[in-house]
Amino acid sequence: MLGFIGRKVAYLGFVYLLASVAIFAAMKLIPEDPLVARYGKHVPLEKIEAERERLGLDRSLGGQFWEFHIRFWSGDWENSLRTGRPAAEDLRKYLPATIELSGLAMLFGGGAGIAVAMYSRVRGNEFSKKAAMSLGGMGLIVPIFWIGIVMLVIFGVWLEWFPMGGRFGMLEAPPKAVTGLYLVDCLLSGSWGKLAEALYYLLLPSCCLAVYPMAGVTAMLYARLKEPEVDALYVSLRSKGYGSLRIVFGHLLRVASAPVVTVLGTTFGGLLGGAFLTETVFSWPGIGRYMVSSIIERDLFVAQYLLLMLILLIFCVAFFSDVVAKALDPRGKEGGDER
Amino acid sequence: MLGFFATPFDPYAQAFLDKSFSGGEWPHLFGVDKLGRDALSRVWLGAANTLSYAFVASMGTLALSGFLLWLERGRSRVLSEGVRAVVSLGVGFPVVLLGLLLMVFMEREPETLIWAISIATVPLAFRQLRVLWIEQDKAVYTEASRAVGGSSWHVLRYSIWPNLRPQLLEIWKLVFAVAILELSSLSFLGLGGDPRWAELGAILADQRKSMNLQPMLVFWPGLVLSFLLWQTRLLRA
Amino acid sequence: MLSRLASLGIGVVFATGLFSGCGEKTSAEPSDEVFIFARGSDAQKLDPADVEDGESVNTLAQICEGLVRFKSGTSEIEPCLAEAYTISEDGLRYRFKLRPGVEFHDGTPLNADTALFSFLRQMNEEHPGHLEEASFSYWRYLYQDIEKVEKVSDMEIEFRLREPNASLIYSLAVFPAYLISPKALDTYGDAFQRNPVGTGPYRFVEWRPDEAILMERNDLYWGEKPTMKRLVMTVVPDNTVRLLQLKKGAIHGMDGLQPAEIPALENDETVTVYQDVGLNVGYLVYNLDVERLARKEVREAIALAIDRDSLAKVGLSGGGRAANYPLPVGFLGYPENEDAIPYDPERARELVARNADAFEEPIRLNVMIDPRPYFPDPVSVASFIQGELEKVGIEVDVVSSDFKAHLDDLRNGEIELGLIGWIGDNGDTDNFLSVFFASWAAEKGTATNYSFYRNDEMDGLLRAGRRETDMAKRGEIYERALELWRRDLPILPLVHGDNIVALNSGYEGFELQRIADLRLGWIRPR
Repeated sequence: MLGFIGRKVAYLGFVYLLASVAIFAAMKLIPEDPLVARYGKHVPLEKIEAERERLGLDRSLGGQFWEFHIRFWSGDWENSLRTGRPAAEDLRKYLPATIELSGLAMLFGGGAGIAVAMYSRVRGNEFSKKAAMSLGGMGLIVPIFWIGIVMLVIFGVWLEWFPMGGRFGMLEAPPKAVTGLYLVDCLLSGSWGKLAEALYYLLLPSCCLAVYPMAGVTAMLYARLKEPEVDALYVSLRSKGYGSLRIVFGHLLRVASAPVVTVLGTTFGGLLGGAFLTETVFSWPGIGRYMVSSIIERDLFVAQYLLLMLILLIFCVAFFSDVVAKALDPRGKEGGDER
Repeated sequence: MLGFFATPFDPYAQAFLDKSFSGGEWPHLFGVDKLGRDALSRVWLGAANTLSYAFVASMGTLALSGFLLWLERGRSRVLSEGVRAVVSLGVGFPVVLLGLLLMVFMEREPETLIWAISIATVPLAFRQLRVLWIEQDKAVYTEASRAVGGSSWHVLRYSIWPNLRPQLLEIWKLVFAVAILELSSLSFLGLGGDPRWAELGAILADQRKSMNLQPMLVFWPGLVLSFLLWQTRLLRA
Repeated sequence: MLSRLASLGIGVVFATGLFSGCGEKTSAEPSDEVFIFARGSDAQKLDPADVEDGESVNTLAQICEGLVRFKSGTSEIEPCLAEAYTISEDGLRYRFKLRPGVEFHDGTPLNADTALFSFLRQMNEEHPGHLEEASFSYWRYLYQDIEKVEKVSDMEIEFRLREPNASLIYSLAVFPAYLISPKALDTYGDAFQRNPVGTGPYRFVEWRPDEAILMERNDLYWGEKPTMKRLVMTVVPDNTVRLLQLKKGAIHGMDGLQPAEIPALENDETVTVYQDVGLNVGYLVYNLDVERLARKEVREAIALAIDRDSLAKVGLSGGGRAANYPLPVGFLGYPENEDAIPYDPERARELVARNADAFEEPIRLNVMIDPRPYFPDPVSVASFIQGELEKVGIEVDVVSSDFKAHLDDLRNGEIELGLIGWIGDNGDTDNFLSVFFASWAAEKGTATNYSFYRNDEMDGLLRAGRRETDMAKRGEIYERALELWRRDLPILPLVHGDNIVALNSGYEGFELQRIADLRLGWIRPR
């Protein structure tokens, strides 16, 4: 296990190096000059050169690359060219919003996926099986930008169960920021009213985003349950006369947990992409929208630090899920008890 | 699939301006859009375009993944570590971001999308292929075949391939479905370049602006897209 | 089969719901508690001297004011923070008498010293308020003729000009000349650009980036008191969702309405649409540095082939009007003759036939994908033009890119045909014609004269127009400049996009402004 983690950490270092080189090169290769692109109408030419000097963009590439690393790790990410806000401060605002959204989506999606796959394996006739699998695979059948608007119209406009977007009521102050995750902050400060409010805004977009991990988990898990060895386990348990619930909760869940964790870990990046579409439909102030707009607006510093940060984040999540999966996988342990 | 060869009306001609925003009536079953184009023809061609571009992209992905797999399984340790690291760099990197980044550098056109999708889907395909290959490589029948002295070509052709084929098809189906989804998301975001390009995602984005006015114009391409994806999942060998 | 049924079901439910109209009832009765206005993106900075995006300007317009302002709904100047002003005979001295008893939101009294701050910080590079990260790009552009600003007495300030500039008084009514409290610089330091302190009807409270900007009523406001207790400018990126929210009463006002939606809203009692001609022009650029476009007949052929009335109807879905001149109607120098360029596809076909060699290769037409006030849907404008040109035998390739890349291509002359537009800053003719035709605006990299049109006669006329203070003579000069434009045709004006704002019908007291800022200060429930 330790060797495994050590290898993964070395990997992470390599990935960081590769990613930072790629991102830095990409930013230098942008055909437009970000300093000029900032202006829509009048370009103050005499100001551009002074600006380039002030921001250190006139220095040697090596120097700039070095500073990129220093600043990345020191957390001083310079200011956004658009808004003048420090990029790191923005990250602290936007990232928790997205973590909250995609975290809940993973939870919902994972749970629903497991339920669907288990149900189809253990019980049900052909018809209900097909139905369950179709539902589970919705993320791969209906595009996410489509689901979002449909859910918003049904639950927000007709049924009025949920608000039509936004993260928190306009008239109330959000919970005091400690982690930036509203749910956690509400729990910390013990304000249940605010917790309800935060959930009220969060549920619909995270359900929408959940279809994506749900599809991954359903497909993966169903295939795993059909594998000969697991199938054999299932048949032998059945022949012992165990009930469905006991088989599922006592045995299959344990077999299933490792691959589910792996799938969730690797879909996290895709979730961030999906988060952009979901955030746009539900007016969610998250990192997906922020990232995309910073690329579109050629907001140099925000884009470069944020991209690197996101890649590392995606990796850490995948890495963490691998570690957890390894720990959970009964086959991975010595003398695995399932075989 | 016939969309390339025959559509009821020219999908690009703005021939029916007088009927802008009309609903479905013969001969325009799906209605006529803002610019007076026949929606059925556009959706029809759009489906064909979506499928063919996604197909090319999925093939690109498989070819690329196959090549990487070959590099990775090769003798050189450094190379194989390198390949794995590069691929893992792309694991789960959101295709939307990758597409956007590519668009900053490359011209916006449908062909660029193929690149974006081919590259972005490689990590997914590579992982699956690798698992599959290792399984087959270690399988009893493969080793048996090797033991009786089959050449590597022989082993590949008669032992691995027959077992590989159905699973490969499974992987391709997944890649293809993902490619369709990604293609339509990217062109939905307007990364396809030519605004007239009939592709389901692009049509959806285009018609969504007039959704409150003529919902059928949005409804049909969405439905066709879902139908295509659903069909893909059922595709048999 | 099942999933097909499911998606069919969803689709049918969805579609019928849209047909039946989603906004039968408004969840909240209009009250004076809060007014929520939604737009597509967030403000960038809230420093009037260092912004140029509409969202920032529209936010600041609720918080800050200038010495003078446009009389609501017109392009006439009326006093605001200055009670009165005088302009000297030679047009070189502008003296403003400040309104007594006005306070900034932080309690700083308005007097000559505090008023000067907002101008000095833009002029003097040594001024502590001249932040190094701020560009003050408008100061260099609209106010370049100001030589000096000084205090005359406690309540009087005076501007001295290098040379007469007839448009300055209009420029002083727009956002870069809004007054902000000097104390804010000490209070907020680095965050000064994010904490505006003005004198306006609403005071700034909180900014939740990409979510909302919260303001509350300024109870000490010097003029007519605002009614709404709170004002929220929120961000709803998706156009469709924004309209759904307005219909449902979740928000009370919005901009960025797709013009195609307007006819359907006419029968909707919950929503009132305000629409008026905008101070902008959307046009087609011919890059004169491209060989085939340097030929007058080629440009003429393209111009004659496009039916601009249909373009306004179809490409803009009625959200604009056909443009005959590269100036909004009613501007100084706008000619009587309304039909500068007729729609004549026959003649266009002849010209194409005569210049067949120029049209062998398809012509590239560059367009941005992001909506702008002059092109609410630029991509469908491009599609429409493509269709029109193909009818007369001109093959066109449309290339779309995001706005920044498109601007960069235009500025560097890396296009053949391009779609772009201009939004007036101060309602003056020079603010359009110099931008389009002056050779000093044709520097590669920073150009606004995207066709790279260079003509000494035109330059002379534009310079003379700036200096002339007699309005009649000035009008004649600009008429001559427009004749030159018609002769050389470096750009083809297409449309003027409308200003469109939609409000919940339960509120009144709103008026569209000519210079498209947004005044929400006096909105009240019906």
